Amino acid sequence: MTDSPDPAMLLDLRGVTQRYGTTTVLHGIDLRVAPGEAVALLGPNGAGKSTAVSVLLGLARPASGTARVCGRTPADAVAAGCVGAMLQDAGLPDNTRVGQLVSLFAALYPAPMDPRRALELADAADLWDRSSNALSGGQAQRVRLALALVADPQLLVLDEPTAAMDPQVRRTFWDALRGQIGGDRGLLFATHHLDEAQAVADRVVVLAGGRIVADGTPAEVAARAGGTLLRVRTEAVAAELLALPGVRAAVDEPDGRAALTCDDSDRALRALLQAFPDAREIEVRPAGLEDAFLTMAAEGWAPAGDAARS
Amino acid sequence: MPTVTRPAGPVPAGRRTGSTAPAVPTTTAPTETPMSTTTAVPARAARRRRASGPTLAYVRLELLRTVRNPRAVLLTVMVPILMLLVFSGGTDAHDKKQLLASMAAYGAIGGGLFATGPRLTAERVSGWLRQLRATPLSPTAAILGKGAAGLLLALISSFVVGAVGRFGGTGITTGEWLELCVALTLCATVTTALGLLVGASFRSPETAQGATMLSYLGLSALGGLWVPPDQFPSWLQDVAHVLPTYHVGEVARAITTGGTVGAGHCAIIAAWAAVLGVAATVAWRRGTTVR
Repeated sequence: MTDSPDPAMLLDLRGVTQRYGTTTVLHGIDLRVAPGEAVALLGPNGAGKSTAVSVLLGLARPASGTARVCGRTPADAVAAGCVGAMLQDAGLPDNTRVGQLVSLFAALYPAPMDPRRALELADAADLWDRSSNALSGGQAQRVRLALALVADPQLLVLDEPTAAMDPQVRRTFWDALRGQIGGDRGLLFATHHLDEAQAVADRVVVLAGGRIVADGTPAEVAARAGGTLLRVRTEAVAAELLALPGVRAAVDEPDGRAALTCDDSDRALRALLQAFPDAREIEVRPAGLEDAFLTMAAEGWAPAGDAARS
Repeated sequence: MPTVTRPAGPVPAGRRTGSTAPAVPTTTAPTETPMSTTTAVPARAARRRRASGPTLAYVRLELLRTVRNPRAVLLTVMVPILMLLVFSGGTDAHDKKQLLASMAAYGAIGGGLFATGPRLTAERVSGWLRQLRATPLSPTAAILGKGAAGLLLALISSFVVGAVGRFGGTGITTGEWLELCVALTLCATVTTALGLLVGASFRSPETAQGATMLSYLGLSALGGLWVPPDQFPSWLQDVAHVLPTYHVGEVARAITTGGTVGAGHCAIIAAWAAVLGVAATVAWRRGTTVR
């Protein structure tokens, strides 16, 4: 991973490792955003999404690896206004009005959009005259989103932008944002909604346990995230169960059971009972995204073709 | 299955513009916006020019926020005036002028403290300063904006308290009033620097607020702004003479009573401002160093 960064990339993280004390939160991740590309960084809480965002904004220096943003170091890119960001969990200052804050951020960037337009995009147009002390949690989050949007930068970075929106508003937001980002601009957004990643992103990068466990089109990632989860207690270990028909991935769980991600759970279950008559405490349910993250983390990313085992 | 997996393959050709500009280190979009005429050499100059815009915008908003902060204005304007009324029972004109000077000094040093410390701590803890660090605003400007707010509040305080002296019964001249405003605003650099230090040092806004209050009352009382320091026992006088507030009080009293401002007092105030300023700078450097 010593090859030099590609200056045409809006974002180019290579082999970025980050530690807090003795805990490693990012294990040598590669992450790129090309001009015109919208990339979703998908992963459960604690996966390292926000840490990756901190590194690319120059707010944290990686223990190893390189980070380039718009062909510069993160700190330079931030100073030049090429990148605008919405961080997770940043408070707003008191004794000020929303309109003043958004106008301030517009004044900080070289080529901002109209502050009212930014508030409108963030579904917060009605908050212009509101005092910053008098916002609900959701309103404050939409205002922070407007602060990032108003920068109208080359690379827009949004950390969980829609967490405070209901599904209907979320859809209108992404529709509006899509219209905004086209051209050479790039978008990187962290989320734990697969549907959002599917609807908006050209590419989905899945981060789990500080590792990139999947990187592909939304369709590829969604195919891996679907399926049925089958839990069973048996003497057999995961590696043996993986050989069963219809099973895509198998993990030994801490409670002594095995968790099988299945493309065809009916076939898998029949074969399981035949091959391992001691099987008991069987539980079958649709695999959620969290399960998909876990299996992806366990098996690592392999190109979609190799992953299909049935 | 350890570490990374697919070496992030070729970029989806998607909507990538085919003939992207050659391998020139990209600054900003080569199309649109007159801003992006920056090329390699003048880029730094352009950046500096651009950098002053954000700083001004930020400082302007900070000043506006300071004036809108009822608690700080109340503490630094209303309280000194109230104390002025309570203590101004005597008839001696000289005493009245001394009392006015002390109260104006009391308000001004409070301005430096309250506009900075607790607010900076709150913004640091809430993540607002971190959000600002992800913008082109220089990190120093974010801190200096608060310093400017501290001086503004000191100016407002000494202006209003001085006006009570000018138009109330104390009878200082307009010249003395304005001189008092300028001198006390300059003196407030000491407590502004102290406030910046407090802002970098505490883990919660509540403790920062407590530390601010404690240092405010302590410095005022021991510096002889409430009770004339010549009424202190001699050991306490020795303590007072070390504190910057004593010398700020001396400067203010010299102005309102028509005396000469001693250069020694100014030198000690400046020394305190320098020491606290360096301490605050070190504290902020340490706190915001990118790890």
